[in-house]
Amino acid sequence: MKKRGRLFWTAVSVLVLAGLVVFPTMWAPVWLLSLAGQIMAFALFAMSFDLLFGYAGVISFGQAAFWGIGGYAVAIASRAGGGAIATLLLGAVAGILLAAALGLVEGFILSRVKAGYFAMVTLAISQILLLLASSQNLRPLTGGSDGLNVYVPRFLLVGPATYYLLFAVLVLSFVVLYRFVRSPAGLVWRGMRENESRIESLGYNVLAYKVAVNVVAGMFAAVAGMLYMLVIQIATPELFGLSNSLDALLMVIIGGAGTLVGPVVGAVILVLAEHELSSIGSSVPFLSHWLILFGLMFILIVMAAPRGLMGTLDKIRDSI
Amino acid sequence: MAATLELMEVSVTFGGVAALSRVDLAIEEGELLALIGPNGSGKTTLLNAVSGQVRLAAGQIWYAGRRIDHLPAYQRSRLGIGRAFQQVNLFPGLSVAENLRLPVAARLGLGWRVWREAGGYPEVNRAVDDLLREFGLQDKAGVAVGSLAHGEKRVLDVAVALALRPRLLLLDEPTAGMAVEEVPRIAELIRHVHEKTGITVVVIEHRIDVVKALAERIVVLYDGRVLAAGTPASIMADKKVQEVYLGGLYAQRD
Amino acid sequence: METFLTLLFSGLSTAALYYLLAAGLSLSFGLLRVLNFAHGAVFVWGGYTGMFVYQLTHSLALAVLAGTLLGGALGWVLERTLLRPAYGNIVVQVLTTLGAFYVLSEAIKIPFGPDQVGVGVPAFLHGAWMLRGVAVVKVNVLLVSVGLLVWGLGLVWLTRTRLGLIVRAGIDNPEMVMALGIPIRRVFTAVFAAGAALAALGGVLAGQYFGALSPDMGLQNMLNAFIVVVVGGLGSYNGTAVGALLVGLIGAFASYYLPSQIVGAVNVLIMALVLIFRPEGLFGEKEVVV
Ligand SMILES: Nc1ncnc2c1ncn2[C@@H]1O[C@H](COP(=O)(O)OP(=O)(O)OP(=O)(O)O)[C@@H](O)[C@H]1O
Ligand SMILES: [Mg+2]
Repeated sequence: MKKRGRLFWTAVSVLVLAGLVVFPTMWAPVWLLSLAGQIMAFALFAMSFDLLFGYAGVISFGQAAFWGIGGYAVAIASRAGGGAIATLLLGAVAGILLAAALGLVEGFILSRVKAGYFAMVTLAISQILLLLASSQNLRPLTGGSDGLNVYVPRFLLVGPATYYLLFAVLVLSFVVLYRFVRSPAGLVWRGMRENESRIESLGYNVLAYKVAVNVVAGMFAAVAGMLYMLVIQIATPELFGLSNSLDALLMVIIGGAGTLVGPVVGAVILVLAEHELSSIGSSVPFLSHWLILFGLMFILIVMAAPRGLMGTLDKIRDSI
Repeated sequence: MAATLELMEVSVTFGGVAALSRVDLAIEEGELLALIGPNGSGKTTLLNAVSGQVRLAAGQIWYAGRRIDHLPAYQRSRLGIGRAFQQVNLFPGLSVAENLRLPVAARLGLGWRVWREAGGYPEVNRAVDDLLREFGLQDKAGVAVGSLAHGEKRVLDVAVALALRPRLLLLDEPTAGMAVEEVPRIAELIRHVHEKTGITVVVIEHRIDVVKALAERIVVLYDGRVLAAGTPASIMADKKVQEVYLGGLYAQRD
Repeated sequence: METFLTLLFSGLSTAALYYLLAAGLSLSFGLLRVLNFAHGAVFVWGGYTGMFVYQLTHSLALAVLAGTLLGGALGWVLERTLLRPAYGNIVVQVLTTLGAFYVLSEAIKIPFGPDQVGVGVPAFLHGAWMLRGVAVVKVNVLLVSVGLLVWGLGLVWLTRTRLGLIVRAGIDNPEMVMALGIPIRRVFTAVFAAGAALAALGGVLAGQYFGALSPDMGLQNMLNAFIVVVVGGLGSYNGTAVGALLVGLIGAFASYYLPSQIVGAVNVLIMALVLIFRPEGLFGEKEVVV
């Protein structure tokens, strides 16, 4: 029974992956590739947040800080090098290191405060970055509130090249994160979520595990922000905005926290919904307030189906 | 024989209220000691002070020749101090096997491995299987802890503490909330572990019959102080103890 | 000297504004262990209600009353629908109040639009008195007086009334209060609604203070209020007041001497320092870990 279930899911995943690899060779309008690119960037972003929230049980409202750092690192590097690949890679490495550094600092704060506090602290930090990014004094570096255009290397503009790059990074990241959460360290993170003080009394240094999970999640979020830049090609201060942090949270909750696949599903649903609803909104004025619907849906899911879509599917499957 | 655990003038206060006042206590290697006393007399606080869940207001704690009262809880655990709690204190969303895998992995120093699947370490699996068998939980390995019966949770709680292979085991009312017929099983388990491994055990216990059957020495706490200490026979004959207990202050719980 | 005094007054009035917002956050955390992320949205709703009523009636008193009552009602509904089913589960409460923040912040745009709007200010609050070269802005006087009044009334309420005693006992030891058979749930609702009412009052006054309102000012103000609470110590009544003073005054002086972008960072810096050196806040009690 269990074996057959696994076989079924393996088959489904292989088919989906194959479909995702093959379709751009047959049909690849620009809008679709761009939409798919946004979905993939957000999927990775949400996955990074799932590591933090779904596995380690840490609530942050500031994951966008890392997303923005990644985005600006690529944007600044691409302008400095005029789209040269070497500078771009250098920028990417710098962005990841910067994200790790911020993750380290936040991690130490995290180890000193209670659950809800940390959400506020991280929110405040991302708001500061937003202010800095839009500041007039830093305009030469960040472009102020107008933002910075991203110069994407030529070869990425050919056909679905960007799409395949994003796809590869996403799959690779998924594999890495999947191994992390199933490893002994991942078990400790889940244990921390379930019962922090007992984890400590078993001899695990909770402080170190918290710092570690925040750093790792931050680095993946930064990578996600970089991917996003390759798709939308402009970095604006809004990257640091609360709405992005909350999007990640929403995707994780809708798809199912602590499943790693859930956030991907959540990203598909949310990006599509935002895309569709905001375009319908221009003709049906009420729908421009679709955020209200989202908020209500979010509350309902948290209260009625806290395991999200994937978690609830699992539960249904277990009970059959 | 030298004391393995020594409390020197230990005081603990909560918001100005003293939970422990200048407690002196020495426990010898391999001893099985029972800690008794009325509700709120500071028994749990004493264990918390030893395992690192509360800070001392004054005094020192020494273990195996080292001063430990300034160490964080996880370092004390690594020195071989194992702890089970008064309330069931497990990982409810994880399976029984995972609950045991955590302490075993901690003992083997595997906690920072990030690549191989947690269930893919043969030495961990062997230890977990042994524990499951020893504690009669084989059939429950894959079950989420949240859905176990209360007695099973208590057993698992002790198993998790023992999975660390501590040299000093602190048990806080291991039979609390258990059905009467399950009590002998836990008492037998404690004696068995103590005899087999020779580790030092400190157990808080309300059931006097269990205490008398198990303990080599009893320490009575009252109002944050050591009221009396000695063999079960001498404690039962002690005037002050009788006064405290027979004076109606002792309420049998559960 | 004049500059100093002018900055002092301006700092005091921001402090009063922060205080109104922070008091509710702190109280509901102390008693209910809830971090209410919808607080900032209630603040905005209070502000818009006040503005609307003032437009209709040209009475500031009515505007204040309407805004405050609406805030209390919102708080009551939030507590009943979102918090009550989930006491003890911080994650769920944080998430649902956050969802409410989303909904409320967006819903206010339906009648009033997404952009900043001007707020009518009664003539007697226009301008400033000049006292020996020091500008005493009239609105600031209003803010500071209301802040002091609320603080004083709150103190009397907490120390002199039965409900206040229950609240204080509940902050110290909720289990005990519940064991005494006091209907703590109803107290929870009352305290939460009162905190929301204060936030809404803050919103009405903020409209007067800034002369304008926008739907997204809830977030920034809520963040500042949270910083105040953290600095003062969660659940500590006077700590919140001191935290508000500290953050308000430092902010006022910083905005004079430092470039404006850095000012936003100053608050967070204060919070970070407090969290690093005294995580329980200046006046908070260390929580006992078990
Ligand atoms: N975390 C805490 N915060 C505040 N006071 C505490 C805390 N833990 C214990 N106390 C107080 O310290 C005193 C001793 O409590 P402790 O739990 O050590 O007693 P005990 O002997 O274990 O009682 P019981 O038999 O009920 O388990 C009590 O008055 C209790 O209220
Ligand atoms: Mg106890």
